[in-house]
Amino acid sequence: MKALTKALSLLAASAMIVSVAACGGGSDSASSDSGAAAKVNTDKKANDGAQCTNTVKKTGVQKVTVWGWYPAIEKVVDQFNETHDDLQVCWNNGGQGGGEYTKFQNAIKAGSGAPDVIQLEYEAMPQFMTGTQQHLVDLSQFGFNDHKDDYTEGSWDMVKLGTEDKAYAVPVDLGPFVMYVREDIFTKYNVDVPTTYDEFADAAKKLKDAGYDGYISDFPLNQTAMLIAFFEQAGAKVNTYSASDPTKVKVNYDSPEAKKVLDYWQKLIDAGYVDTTDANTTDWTTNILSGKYATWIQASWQTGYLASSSDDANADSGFRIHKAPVWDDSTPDVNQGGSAWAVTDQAKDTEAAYKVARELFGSEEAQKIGVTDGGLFPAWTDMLNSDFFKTEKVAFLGNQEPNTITIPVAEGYKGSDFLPFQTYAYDEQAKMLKSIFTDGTSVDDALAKIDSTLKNYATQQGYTAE
Amino acid sequence: MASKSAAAHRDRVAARRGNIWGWTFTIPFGIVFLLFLVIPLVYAFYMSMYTTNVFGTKFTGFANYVRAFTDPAFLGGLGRVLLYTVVMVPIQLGLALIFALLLDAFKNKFASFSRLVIFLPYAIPGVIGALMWGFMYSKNMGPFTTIFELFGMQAPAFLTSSGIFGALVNVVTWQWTGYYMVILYSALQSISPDLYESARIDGASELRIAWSIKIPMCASSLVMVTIFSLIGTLQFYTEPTVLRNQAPTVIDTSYTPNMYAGALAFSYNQPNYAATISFSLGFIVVLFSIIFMRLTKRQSGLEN
Repeated sequence: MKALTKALSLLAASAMIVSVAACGGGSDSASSDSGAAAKVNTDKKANDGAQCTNTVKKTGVQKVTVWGWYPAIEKVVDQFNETHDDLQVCWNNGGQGGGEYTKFQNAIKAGSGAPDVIQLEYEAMPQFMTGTQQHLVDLSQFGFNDHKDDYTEGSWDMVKLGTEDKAYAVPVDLGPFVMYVREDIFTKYNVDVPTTYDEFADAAKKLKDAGYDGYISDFPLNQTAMLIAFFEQAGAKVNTYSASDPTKVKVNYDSPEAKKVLDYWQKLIDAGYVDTTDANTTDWTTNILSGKYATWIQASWQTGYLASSSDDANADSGFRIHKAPVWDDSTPDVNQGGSAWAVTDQAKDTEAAYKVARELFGSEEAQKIGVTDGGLFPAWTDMLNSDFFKTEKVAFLGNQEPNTITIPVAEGYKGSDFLPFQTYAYDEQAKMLKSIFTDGTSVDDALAKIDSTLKNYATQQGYTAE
Repeated sequence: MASKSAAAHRDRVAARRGNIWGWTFTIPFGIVFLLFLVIPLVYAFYMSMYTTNVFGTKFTGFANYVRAFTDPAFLGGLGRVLLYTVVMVPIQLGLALIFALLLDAFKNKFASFSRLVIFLPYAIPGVIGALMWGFMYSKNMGPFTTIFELFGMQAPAFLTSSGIFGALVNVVTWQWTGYYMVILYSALQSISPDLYESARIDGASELRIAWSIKIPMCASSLVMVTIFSLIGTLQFYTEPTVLRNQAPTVIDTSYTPNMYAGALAFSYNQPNYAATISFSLGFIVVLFSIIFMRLTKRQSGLEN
């Protein structure tokens, strides 16, 4: 191995000397726009020939191109186009999540092909605002800060991307972290629904002792944002990143708070009270729908996903939403997931794109479509305060009004930081959980390892890692 | 003298004309070959010479290759596919050869029906086959749990760290054995029956005929099939990628080098390093194929 490394290093060194001339190659263009703010364009005609998936309502009007995958997005776009005379939205589905981000990255490399407005999850935004890659437009230059109060504190914090007074996207939805509870199981075995983690551990034992043959919950090894939410509840901030210092990241898995969380779950898993089946697999879906898990701690958008995988989405599943368990009175409200509309540096008319980003979900009608047809949990405060939303009944939850519980969580949430290489970090998280719960590595060693792995990766990518 | 050189000249013209026609007929293939194989390969190599980080893209020569061959994720995946090769290739080829010999020995209706049944899995697209096995391996939905319970036993945990290796070997063997069997079977058909007859007159048993005549006579097909199997296993991708949906933590993103290249390109946004990994894997596959062909030069009939 050593000899091979040496030989390859030699080759590399000689190649570097030989090929200084080849340096003028096309692919190092990125270094030219070193960290400068994304530029503002004003071409109102550039999108006239754009191909749209939706049918544009008004012809001869300036178009703004949009990529997004929200459920019921077509209806929201139609609603916008019907109510606007100066601008029309030209929507395409650029793919969902990772698929869309890859397409966006390709468009960035090509220098064209990106839409004016793009849906990005909060956790995906840093990768487009890092180092020399500055591809989201600061919307505060168009006066977006005046609308700050329209959005919850946590969602606003995330679109600021760690800056003082900039905003890189318009918040749309959130995922308040709650606990799904099979109340019927707790009633059957005469156990109280837990509200704290101490009670949760007691309830786990009581259920098992009373003869319940399932698990109180599942702690999947492939959890991504879910683990971050668990950590945040305990006060562990594992990732720190700011777009105002875009070549620096801070990783801190190796903390007493993170250790507390993993130690807690390890005890319950070792005792056989908690399952570790990977989430969103066939086995997991059958388990959760067949009452093998008495609770499931997760973002409130899980309702829609569970309903769509069950036999009858409108039948009572037995699940009810409760507040997530807390460690103590100081446990913060946390969130898992959600997304926003960002304006790209390839926007043909940047200010028009900003207007579309802000107004697509910026009316009561559009919000209602998002909530009713799309199952979104809005970040828009007017909606959160409306009676319509507070009293919304969900058939899958036995006509519970779950938002009486979810709204305070969303309002109490203060925001999170994500890394510019969050996907990689998530994959490493899964490896860490696997090493602890199937390979027997100690929690201390596993946390120390992921810390050093992520720091090495960051350094390798050119970041200053802390 | 003059007529001789005129004849030579005529031959040369004819040869050149032949060459022109040869090239003409090759052009359609040549264009596709150039466009979709040579150019992408050259471009991938060019990409692998650059590195992108937060400060932009710069030429780094072979530095990416140094990184690849010291990267535990790549080396781990490589080790894993080598292990798969060592286990899977002999199993597949052994089974394919046994089936081919049996079908060749018993030429009746049942044999041709069996041939079809053994070949059938190959006709099912790889993704569908892997999906199907994924459901069968499932603890809750698969039939194995019920079948084992009938005998009071517990079904093996297929989709766990300890069970996944065998589970994947099984899927691939199920899928490909029939294909290799058909190739070997058709090679056996081309052997002249006279040979068997004279062997029988000399008192050779059927087993002896299979071992001393049939297997050596289809050695070149065996070598070809081994190379197919070798290349396929080193490039392992479809089956683990599909099963990953059922067992995401057991099969991680760098389970095989091909999967790792895919993750680097499409999840981690590192196209340059992904090109490096792809190129390194390609190089190793070529290396293995050459070594194997050298070792089996005599058997393969490629000597001349």
